[in-house]
Amino acid sequence: MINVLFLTPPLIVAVFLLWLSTNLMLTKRKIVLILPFFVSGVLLCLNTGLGFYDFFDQKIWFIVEFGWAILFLWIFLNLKHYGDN
Amino acid sequence: MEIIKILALTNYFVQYILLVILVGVLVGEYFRRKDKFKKGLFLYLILTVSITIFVVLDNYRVFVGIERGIIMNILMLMNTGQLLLFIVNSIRVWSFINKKLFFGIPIFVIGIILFESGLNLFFGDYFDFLNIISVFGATILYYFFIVSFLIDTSPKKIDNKGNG
Repeated sequence: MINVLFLTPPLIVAVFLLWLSTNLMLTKRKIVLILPFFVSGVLLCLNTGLGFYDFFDQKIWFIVEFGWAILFLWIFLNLKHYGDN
Repeated sequence: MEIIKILALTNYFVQYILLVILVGVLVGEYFRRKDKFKKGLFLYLILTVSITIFVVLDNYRVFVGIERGIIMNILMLMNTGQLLLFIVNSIRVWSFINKKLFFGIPIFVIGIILFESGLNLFFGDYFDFLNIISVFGATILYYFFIVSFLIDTSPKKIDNKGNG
């Protein structure tokens, strides 16, 4: 029960991120700029799923956190292009 | 619960959410567009809904631990029908689809299967894990296949093409 309570907010954010990024892909031209947000939605969803099934392994969290770091780097390197659309 | 089972269930969880969002986007586009921009959209919508049902059934099967019986036959028939529908509808709208993704899906899955069979000779433990990756990869490729189809059939793009 406590899992459901804590994992619902990230799940809602993940669904919102995925929905928004998919709709942005359809309307805007540069998918590369929107893709990091889609991938972060998938990562958040993966996090929630693993948490939901009580899989709190440190190695998995380390890999997921590393994924976030890569995404931040990806967005940061493309920062100057975000005004183009 | 075993680690591999948790990974499989998490994979189905992510897939289910992705597919539900894709169904939402497809329904939205279907009702927003005019008739001349809807070619092939309805069948892709049916296909996506049927894949979502398949994922839910397969998730249940893995969760309960059924590995043989009538549900396996039903799932296999569903899969075959989906594959046929996917190929037939893609041929219908051939000029609008992304060919790299269309051929990428079977190449990716067959590649993983070949890799698996090679790896299974030496490391049997990774067999299930690669299976999960192959299913997940196929879903992601399918997702982007549909998104690129929607972009290529959007009224803005087709009008631009028509004007040269």
